[in-house]
Amino acid sequence: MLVICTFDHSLHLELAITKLEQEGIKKDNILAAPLERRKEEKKIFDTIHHSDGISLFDGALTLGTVFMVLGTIYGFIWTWGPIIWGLIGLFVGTGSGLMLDLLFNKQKSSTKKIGDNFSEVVIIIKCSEDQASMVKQVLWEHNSLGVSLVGIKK
Amino acid sequence: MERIPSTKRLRRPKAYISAFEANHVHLRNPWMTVWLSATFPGFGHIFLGSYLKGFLLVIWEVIINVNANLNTAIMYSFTGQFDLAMSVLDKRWLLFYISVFVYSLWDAHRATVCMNKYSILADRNHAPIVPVKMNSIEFNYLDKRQPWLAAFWSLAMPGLGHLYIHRLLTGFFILIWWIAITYFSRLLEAIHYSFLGNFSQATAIANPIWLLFLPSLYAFAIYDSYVTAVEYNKLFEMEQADFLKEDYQNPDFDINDVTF
Repeated sequence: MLVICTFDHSLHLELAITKLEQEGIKKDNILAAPLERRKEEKKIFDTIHHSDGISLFDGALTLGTVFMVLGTIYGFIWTWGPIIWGLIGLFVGTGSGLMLDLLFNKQKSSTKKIGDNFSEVVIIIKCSEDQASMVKQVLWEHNSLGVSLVGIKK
Repeated sequence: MERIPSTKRLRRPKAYISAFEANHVHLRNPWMTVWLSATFPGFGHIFLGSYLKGFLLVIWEVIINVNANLNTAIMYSFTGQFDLAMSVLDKRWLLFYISVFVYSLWDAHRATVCMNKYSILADRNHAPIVPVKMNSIEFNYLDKRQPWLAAFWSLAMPGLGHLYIHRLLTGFFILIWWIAITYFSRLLEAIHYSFLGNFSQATAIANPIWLLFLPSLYAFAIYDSYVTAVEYNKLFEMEQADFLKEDYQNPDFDINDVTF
């Protein structure tokens, strides 16, 4: 019997494997294949975090700081004072930075982005037929994303 | 399985994990560290994990800025009160500012470019990572953490986001500065008056010398904790993937072999 399942990288994954070993599955009968994600070529200069979601934060916090400083400064001469204007600056700056980044990224990304629903590790476990339901149970208990039982010829 | 006990013997290490801190090289945009240094000299270096340099530059910035009345002069200049700006600047301190400010920008860029090369080399060499360290007073482990939660805690109180991701040096440093600057700028009183609608009282009580430090510190705490959480997650995945490949990829694994 083959049990094929997928996991995200997590401590649950290691807990599941060690639990299976405790229950009598031999280590040599467990095969783990961490998947590599499709990603762009690494660059030293320029926009290196383009593909991992951080770039959205760069622009937002950059403009957020600028506008918050300006809000705090002009707050000293405007009616609502430096605190309110500072906060308005933070939100306006962060919001517009985020919008600009989203707009910019939309134009630039021609390839499909990988969503959050991406299994990171595939695990194949070889076991006897009477062990299969136990293995399945252990996998589900440890947050496996999907499990498949495959019969093999004797 | 025997794991490498420390990173000291590695020529191109990826990460050094102590009970207090995980310092590691990952790809960063050099212009982002330059920008962080521009908002507050030293922040770029703290972002890189170059703590002693960063702390030194931050302390230097606060001392020179406060003594030269720079922030007050900035406030007056931006609001068109140039005569007042000229008169508050203390010439005994002002010129100290320039060379170290420019140096902090330059060095942040230089160091980032260099560390990016180290990061690529470490990745290509598959440098082993030690995922857990503990000693008698602390416990540090790589784990998957929510970047948005780190950002949220930094938003609630700068420093807490770093405690959540276990970057204790940055966390303590930001927490202490945040409390000191909040106290001297009279931020909490100004918030109190602002929310009661007494804006003139809020403006009168807020101290621009210290208040103008806060936006940079606030935004840096949020940004740094978020980005570091993302990078720690990647480090966790990298370490676990290497472990699985080494321990769970038996070359004799045969799916047609039915002996268990």
